[in-house]
Amino acid sequence: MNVKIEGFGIVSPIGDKNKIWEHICENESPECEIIHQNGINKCVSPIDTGNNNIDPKFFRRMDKQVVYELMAGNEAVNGSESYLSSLDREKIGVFTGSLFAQLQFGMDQIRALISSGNKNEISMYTGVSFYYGAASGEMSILISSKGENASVCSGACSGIDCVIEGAKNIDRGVNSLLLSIGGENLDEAVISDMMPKNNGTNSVFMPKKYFYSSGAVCVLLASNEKSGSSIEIISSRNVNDSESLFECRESFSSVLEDSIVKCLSDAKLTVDSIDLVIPGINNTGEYDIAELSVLAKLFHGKKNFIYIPTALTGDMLSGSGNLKIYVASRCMLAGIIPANNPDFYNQRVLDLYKAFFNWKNKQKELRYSLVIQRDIVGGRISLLLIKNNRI
Amino acid sequence: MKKRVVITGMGAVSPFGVGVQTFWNNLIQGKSKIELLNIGLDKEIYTPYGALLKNFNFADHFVQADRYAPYLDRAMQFVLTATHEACEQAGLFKDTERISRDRVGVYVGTTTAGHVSAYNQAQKLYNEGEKFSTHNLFQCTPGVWPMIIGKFIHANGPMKSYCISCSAGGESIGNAFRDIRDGIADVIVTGGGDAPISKINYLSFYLIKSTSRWKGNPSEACQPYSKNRPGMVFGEGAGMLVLESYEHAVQRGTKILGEIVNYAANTDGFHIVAPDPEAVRYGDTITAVFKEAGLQPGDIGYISCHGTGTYRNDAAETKAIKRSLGKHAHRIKLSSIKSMLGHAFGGSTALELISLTKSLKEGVAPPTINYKEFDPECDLDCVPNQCAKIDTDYGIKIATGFGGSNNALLLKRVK
Repeated sequence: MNVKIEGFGIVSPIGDKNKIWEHICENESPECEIIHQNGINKCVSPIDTGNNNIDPKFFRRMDKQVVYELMAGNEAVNGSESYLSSLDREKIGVFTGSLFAQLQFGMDQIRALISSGNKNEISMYTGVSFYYGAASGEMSILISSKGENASVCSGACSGIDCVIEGAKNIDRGVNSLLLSIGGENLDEAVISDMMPKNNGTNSVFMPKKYFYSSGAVCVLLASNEKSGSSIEIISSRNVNDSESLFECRESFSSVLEDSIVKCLSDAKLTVDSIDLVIPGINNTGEYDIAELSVLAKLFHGKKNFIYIPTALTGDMLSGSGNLKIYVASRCMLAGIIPANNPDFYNQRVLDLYKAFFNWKNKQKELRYSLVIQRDIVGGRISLLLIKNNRI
Repeated sequence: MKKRVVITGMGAVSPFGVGVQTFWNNLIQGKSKIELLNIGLDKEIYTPYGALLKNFNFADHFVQADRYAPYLDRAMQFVLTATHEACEQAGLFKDTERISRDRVGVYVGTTTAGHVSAYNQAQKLYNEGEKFSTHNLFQCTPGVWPMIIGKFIHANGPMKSYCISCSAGGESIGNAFRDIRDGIADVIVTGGGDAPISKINYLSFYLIKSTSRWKGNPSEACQPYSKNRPGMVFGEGAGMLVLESYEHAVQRGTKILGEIVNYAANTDGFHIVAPDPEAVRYGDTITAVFKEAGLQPGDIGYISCHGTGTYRNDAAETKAIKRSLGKHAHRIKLSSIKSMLGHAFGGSTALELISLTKSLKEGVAPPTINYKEFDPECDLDCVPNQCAKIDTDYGIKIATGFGGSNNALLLKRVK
């Protein structure tokens, strides 16, 4: 591939990208407010509307999911302003994705319609709120981009799939700069009821420790020729185990194993080259256990190479894959594998695999990292392999 | 090495009924399915026009309906039904030994996904206290849709939903085309579908003055390219296609229905709900799709248009075509089947690509019905009211949508 990661923008309950990295390095569990729960927890932080370049009128006409994605995109681009102005606007694109998109805004309008006795009291932007791709158009207007946009909605894999599809478009020469953004607003209470329920059996995580989080993460992609970044995307894969839509079947392990091997061999690498794995573990019970057993088989004998940021930052669903890419990139640039916090994990399960997990921050030169993201239902898997060219 | 990408299966669910042949036969006869809808709105004030597929019973068209139905929005029932037809035509069910499952992907375009399911469940929640459940996650969110199709056809390749705007069906097919061309997959089942008709969705389009204000015969409510066109009309349906590499199709010995030669897309960056009136980028998309393929304007004989029947869309679209094709724009034919079927959102571009495939093969362009009066801003040959003969090797499907998203697919006739 011919694609580099130029920068990031993050909106999260914990704070911006630097605050997240601080928490990771210090292995601190942030204080978050739980908004609603039904077997799951989640937390959000208020958005400071005075501290970004988003026009306040946006907040009245669209869901916070779009606002979060705009803020994350804006942050990523502002970090590269001079670079952005040197590019052809017709080659700048915006790829966005979300699992729940603007559900809260839509539900608010439905409530308004029902409670007003079916009178016409809804927002004129209700129709736009039903569009999953609205954030791409809004972002383009905000930064005056005129290149190809897309909205890639792959559930919890949406954000990372925006990165994968965006990288393909840069590699094909369709775009030269791409904002790939995944984000969620989980404030709407019905979301708790819609989420799959993990009963805790075979969970990798301690009951009640895992939480879902609103927010958005933008990964800014650029072609090698246009970028001075040392982090490069070298391989990617999207696969699905069709047998495991409703429950995890044995075939899931072989599909995952095969996809990891192919993702590495596409880059002419083997598992021995991989310094850091950020896995797809996402509180999905049997699927998580299957993933750990696949990693154990493939990376047999390797130690201290797995880090799971979502335990600390919360699972941002569609933003989660992009957050992992951020964490992997920071780890590679800093030469550190952060410590996992044992408080988050189910000791009974972890005992089987604890050699893989790092319990103290570890300095190490990291050249290749593998990021795995899985959906919260079914057997969808997205893989991204990144390289640190400084080493 | 770039691969050629061909269409080997097509499936259509539209207000005309189930099946590509039903769809095509009604199109060329210029039949309208548009009527005033009973969606709880005063018909005199709101004029809620739309084209519905009536009496659709999923179980009549899908053998595993009982198993899948609890997880499906009405739109997904359309998509699965169309998928079944397309895969059967392509021989995907019987040719399992020569198809590698991990090289088969599913890309689905949808604009509003399962918003009607969300709307219905919300009503149950507020009126009866019935909570949302995990079933609603499957029904309402588009990310799950391709995985449901993947389970049905046993596909283990990439699964994606594309949702950019009303042009999502084109976005989905275009990206499937690229991934087969570049060797990422051998076969991709792709297209789009939506069932966007709900009281709340209609009202929001009414508020932004997009919906038809026509006060005459309901079947004439959508009048693309006519001078006093009254606005857009809602529709519903799904179009699904089986795309595969030419070599793969030949190896399997399956019939080739058409060839997708190129895909192009870009953005106005102008306004969230209005097209750029100068249609600069829309025109650029059309130019890119044939120029990148090494063709000249004179090679293009027919364009299947977005043609929503709104003042702004049709004027901008005409300008885009003229910008791109120059004088040749006046020599080609173009038409909007939304005049008959309304706007099926994510389903529309996919259905229109199926119509274009049939047009090139049969040498017939479906009409733009309800054409009444010449508009100098829409001065191209829109095949008014009666279908017309065409004889061309290349046709283009163009689409646009909210957020200023534009896309174009270049299709080649297979002789």
